[in-house]
Amino acid sequence: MKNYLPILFATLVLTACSDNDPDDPSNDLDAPTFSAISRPSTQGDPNVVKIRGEYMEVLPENSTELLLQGELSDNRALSEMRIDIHNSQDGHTHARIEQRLPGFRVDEVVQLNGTSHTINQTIRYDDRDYLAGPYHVILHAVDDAGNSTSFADGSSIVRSVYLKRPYMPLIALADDPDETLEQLSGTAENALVVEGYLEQQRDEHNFAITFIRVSLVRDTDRDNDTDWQGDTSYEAMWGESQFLRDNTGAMLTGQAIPTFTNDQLPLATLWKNQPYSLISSDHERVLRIEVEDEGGNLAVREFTVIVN
Amino acid sequence: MHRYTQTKYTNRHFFCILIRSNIIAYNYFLIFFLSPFISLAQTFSLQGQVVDEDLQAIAGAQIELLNSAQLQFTTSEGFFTFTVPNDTLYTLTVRSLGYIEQRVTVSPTTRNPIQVRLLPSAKILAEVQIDGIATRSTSTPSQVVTTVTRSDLDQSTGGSFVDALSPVAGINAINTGVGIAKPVIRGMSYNRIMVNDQGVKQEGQQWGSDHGLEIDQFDVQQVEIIKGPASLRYGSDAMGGVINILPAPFPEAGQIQTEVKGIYQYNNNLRGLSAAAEGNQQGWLYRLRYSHQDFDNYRVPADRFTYAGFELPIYDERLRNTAGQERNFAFSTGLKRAWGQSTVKISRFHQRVGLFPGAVGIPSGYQLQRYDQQHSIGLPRQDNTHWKVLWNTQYGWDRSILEVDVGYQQNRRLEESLPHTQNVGQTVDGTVAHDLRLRTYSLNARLIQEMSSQWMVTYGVQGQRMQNNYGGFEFLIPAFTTWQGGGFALVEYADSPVNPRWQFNAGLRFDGGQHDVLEHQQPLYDELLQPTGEFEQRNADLTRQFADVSGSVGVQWQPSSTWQIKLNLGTSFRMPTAIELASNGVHHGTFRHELGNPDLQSERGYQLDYALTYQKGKLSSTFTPFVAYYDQYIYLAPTSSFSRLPSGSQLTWEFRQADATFWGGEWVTTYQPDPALNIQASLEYVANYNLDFQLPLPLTPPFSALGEVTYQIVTQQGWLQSLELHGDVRWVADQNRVDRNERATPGYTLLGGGVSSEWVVGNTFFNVMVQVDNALNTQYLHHLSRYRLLNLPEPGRNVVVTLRVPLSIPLNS
Repeated sequence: MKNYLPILFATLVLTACSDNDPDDPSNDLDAPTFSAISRPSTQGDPNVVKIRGEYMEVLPENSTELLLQGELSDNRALSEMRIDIHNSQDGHTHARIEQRLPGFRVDEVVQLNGTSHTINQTIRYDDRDYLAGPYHVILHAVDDAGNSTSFADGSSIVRSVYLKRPYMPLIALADDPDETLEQLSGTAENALVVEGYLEQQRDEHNFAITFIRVSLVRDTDRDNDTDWQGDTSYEAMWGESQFLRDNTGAMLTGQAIPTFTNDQLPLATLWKNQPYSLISSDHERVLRIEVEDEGGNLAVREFTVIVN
Repeated sequence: MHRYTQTKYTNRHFFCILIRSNIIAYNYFLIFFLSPFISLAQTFSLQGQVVDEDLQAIAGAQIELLNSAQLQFTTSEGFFTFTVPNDTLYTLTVRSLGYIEQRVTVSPTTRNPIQVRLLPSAKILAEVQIDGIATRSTSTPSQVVTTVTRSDLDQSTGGSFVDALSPVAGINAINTGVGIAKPVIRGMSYNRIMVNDQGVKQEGQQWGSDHGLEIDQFDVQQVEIIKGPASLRYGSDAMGGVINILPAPFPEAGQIQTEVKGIYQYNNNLRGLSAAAEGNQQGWLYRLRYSHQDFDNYRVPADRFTYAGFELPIYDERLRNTAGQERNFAFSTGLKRAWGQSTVKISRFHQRVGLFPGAVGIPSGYQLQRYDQQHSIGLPRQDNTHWKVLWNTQYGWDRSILEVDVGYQQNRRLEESLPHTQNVGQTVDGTVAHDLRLRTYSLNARLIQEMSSQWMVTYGVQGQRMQNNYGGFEFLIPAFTTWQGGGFALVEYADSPVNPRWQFNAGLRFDGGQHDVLEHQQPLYDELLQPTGEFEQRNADLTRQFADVSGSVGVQWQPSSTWQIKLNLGTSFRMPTAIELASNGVHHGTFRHELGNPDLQSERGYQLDYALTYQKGKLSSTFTPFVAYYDQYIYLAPTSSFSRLPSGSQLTWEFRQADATFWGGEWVTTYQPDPALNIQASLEYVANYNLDFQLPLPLTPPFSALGEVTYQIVTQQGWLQSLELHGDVRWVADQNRVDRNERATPGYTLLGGGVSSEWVVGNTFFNVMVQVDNALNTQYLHHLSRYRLLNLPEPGRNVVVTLRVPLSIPLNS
């Protein structure tokens, strides 16, 4: 049928016009690449803790700055890099309503040119009292043609840090002054014995603890930087959370918080309040203790449980 | 299966009739060749024969003379005769079980006698090229049109009306999970294709990628899909095509038809029910329908996904917060008289669907914990309500018909999330991020005149006023008022009123429009997420006017009963929407800061459509390629700057214009070696190219092939009246033709199948269908899915069970 030959020919001609010319800048489809970004190490590094499934570099109580280092390059021309640091203690359920302290926030766009850039940025957070807790440190980049890094393919950088401040609640375990304890032991069918205490109203802020959650979760170890929480065999809550909601929108609420004495609450009191006996499958589960105060600060400590 | 003996439909017709008599007559033995000579004073006769595609007579076919009470059944030779009082135009509806219903226009002196050739109804969605002189009220003969009937929709029940249309070659869906889907015709969507519901254009903020179509999938009886430019008849926004939802026919006088349909889907525990009752009391028509659906989080064949460098869990292999519900109702009433018909329909569509939490911000494993039930619709979520009042009138006299459609629509879209997402503190808006309220008034009128037995002319005018207001703690699109109006004239010629060899059509249209956009000042918040009292301007006041001309010319050539060729050349236009001109905000559904461009001009398109149909015996095949060129095609392009808005670290995208080309086509072949066995293969392909940037355009569907086999057993005895088995395989190619910042998507293969059965127990008829989609539980990404941006797979295996019970209650009249 000769009738459609001219159209076929036309489509062939149009298709032929789609060849990409490698020298044409408008055909640059490669986004900038981050490399050698200093990341928290994952094994035995005292500066790294695992909190809520994410490995976080600890920024100690009296630290004042964070160093961002790495390399950024593009095949043609860099345009901008964006540094985004924001609080992530609500786990991005975005449940926070009120906070008395501001979250540390960086939203900075750095103008760039050329094909490479060495990132060496010092970010100070000592100008005022910021919310203590986990933060995301995110880097994006875009080049002159509009190609940008993204979350979807993992080309944007997401780091997590845990900002500790002197006025945040303290989760102190016995014989562990430097907070290096990572494991706890127990035997099956017995209560897990953890000696220690929670401390509130530290520093001149005097923030009382408003929410405590203790849970025993399975944290599968993988090669990735971040894992997720697995099955929960035990969960006990006291007080009312400011960040965490259930899906109906109600804030997570537990029993009344036991009375503090001299601003301290022994952990034994919590265990007595909501007791739990270990089971053998709790072996290598993670005991997570989360404490919120009225300022909005969040303290978290996690320990791997060994069941004998 | 078409159950014409159970429910009788009267399709919307092109010409209405002036008949004075109201006598019900059932004649089985009228003699064909005697009637021209038996003319009682002032009566005329209409005669014809009904045959199948091989020109074999069809006996017992039902012929209805519209707007009268005359009904005939063809003789064993396929003949029929009607006696009519006037020498004017009449419309006949011809039906027979197993065939596609046809409307034909006849008149005693110029189109008489006629031969009506019926085509077998396919059990699966197929291209339909209607032969003879069946007049189509919605498209010109040279356009490529696909008809989709209720039974076709039942067989491909998906989460939504648009999903049910997806098996048609050339049709796709941009979906957000299950339940939210918008149509794509040949790679075009958003404001480039029009959904026409009973003559009124559906307006529901269709610029949004995650804005689904507000149509109750159970309320649709017949759909015509026009692929290609249809601006001539429909105006701006019909550049890529039209999805024309035709009004459901009312039953015959003297009975109440009811139908109850229940549906259950395994994948997301969907429970749905739709019940309707309709009747015709001496010309008074009424219909009431209520539909509801409840569904839970949907299942995917994966227990984790990767995003932002994290490996995140999918607990129980169900995507959290993708549950939803739908509650719809529709009430129609009207008059059917000798002069024509006038009906009013009031309907409400309401859907609430949860959005996967990662759709707003970075999901973290912590956030995806199981605190909720599988059926909870939590935050973030979408809540969409669409009210519609439609008034359709057809009035006929002599050789003319006047059609008037008046519509009022009120669309309210709420997008709810927690304000901390956008660095906003608690406001009076609570969890309402966006509250978009759109009101649309529409008026369309068409005058169709038969100038002679060969020439027909249609004149039409259209007008629309749209008003948008917004609320919520976030801002994306401003308040605006839009006026649009146009007029067209269309001429159609057929060399013979009976089975023409040649048909030509040509038309011209003028349009004008104006957008009045109001300035928006967005409050600024401090680091404690409290308002500072300061504002920043997101967009300025803007007024823009547009004027456009469009037209088309086409031909259909039928050299024999075996071949048919169509060629259509059309120009189309689209005026920029107020959103493309003036939006300025972060659209969380697309993870972008979208910036409007106040200087945009109208898009203009030039498209060539070709259709070649071969039909002989057991084989039929239709090939429909197309090629198009667009001048100043509007699209969103990424800039090299990050957004300076406080709502998250998104890249700024702005609306630009560039010249673009589209090409592609569909090829559908059906082979029916046996009346019970039907095999169909369809291929679809579309590709496009941004000529300025030498890149493809985004969200283009990949090449895809669909193969279907249907086997039908009709017993017509005992409890089981008929059984139909079908199986299908869909193969989708990789999509590597992607725009900047768009990711390629690998291809996949999906298997499906099902059984449809009809039962009669006592006096009750019912229909049971069981269908399996994605039978192998294949994990795949859909290139046009919004959740693909999060690397989330599409739903896994689904089993759908449908039970339908129609009931006809005769009344004493």
